[in-house]
Amino acid sequence: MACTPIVNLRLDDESQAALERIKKKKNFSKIVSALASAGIFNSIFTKSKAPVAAFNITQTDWDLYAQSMASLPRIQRKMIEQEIDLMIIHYQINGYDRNHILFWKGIKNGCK
Amino acid sequence: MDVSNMGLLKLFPIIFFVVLSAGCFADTDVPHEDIIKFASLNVLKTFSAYEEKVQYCDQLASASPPKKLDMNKLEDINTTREDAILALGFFKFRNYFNCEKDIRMRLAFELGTLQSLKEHSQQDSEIVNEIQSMVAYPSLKEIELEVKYLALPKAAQDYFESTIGDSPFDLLQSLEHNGLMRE
Repeated sequence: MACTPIVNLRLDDESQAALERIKKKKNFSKIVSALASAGIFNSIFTKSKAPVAAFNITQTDWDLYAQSMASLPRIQRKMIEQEIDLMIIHYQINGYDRNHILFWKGIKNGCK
Repeated sequence: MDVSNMGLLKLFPIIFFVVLSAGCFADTDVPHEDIIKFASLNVLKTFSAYEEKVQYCDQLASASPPKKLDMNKLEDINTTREDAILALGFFKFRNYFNCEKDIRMRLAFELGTLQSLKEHSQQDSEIVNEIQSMVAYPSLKEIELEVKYLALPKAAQDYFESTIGDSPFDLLQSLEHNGLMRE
């Protein structure tokens, strides 16, 4: 489904706030990878510890790390979809605006 | 000596051994970093499980036909188009939440555990907090939807509850299917 062209779209405060939340969620994988590096591989990545100690990172550790990193896009996508659904509900109930509806619907469907 | 005392007497060597060995284990300190590693691993494991659950709930939603509302019935119970959209929106979030509830609770717990260890780690607690609020808990907007839905008359709530049910579904499809989507 192709997205409908939108003329003169002026995003209101509600949409701008939602876009801010989405931006934050788009950084989610960065945030989680910071968590993972600060946590599971804490001893290796932290600045304060000299890299002289012997670390035991098992294959399971690595597998889990890789698995959780690979799983992020789906969780991230899900969180973004939730924001979009909230916006669609908002513009259908509180003050209909065609351009905003087309905009959020297009984002949801990905114009595929 | 009665029977219960005899039982206790038999148990005594075992209790003695357990207490003694617990003392031995307690003497062996586990390095803090291993404890942090353990807690972090639990967070990562739970993330993986959460991903699987998200996929599972999405599959349920894809397999579920759009929810069909009876427009005559809506009129009978004095329910507006906006109420119907609100109800579909509320149930979309509630049904997904219920589908993912166990794993989200577990994730909140694991992240909370990691957070509780912040004194012993170099963990950025703001990051942990941020992830916890993003992933495990409903947003302000979702709660707002719930508050509005719960303000609907009881008859309307009963109708929506029985018609929409509790399985995850695609909101957009259901809005379109019922002609509720204004474009």
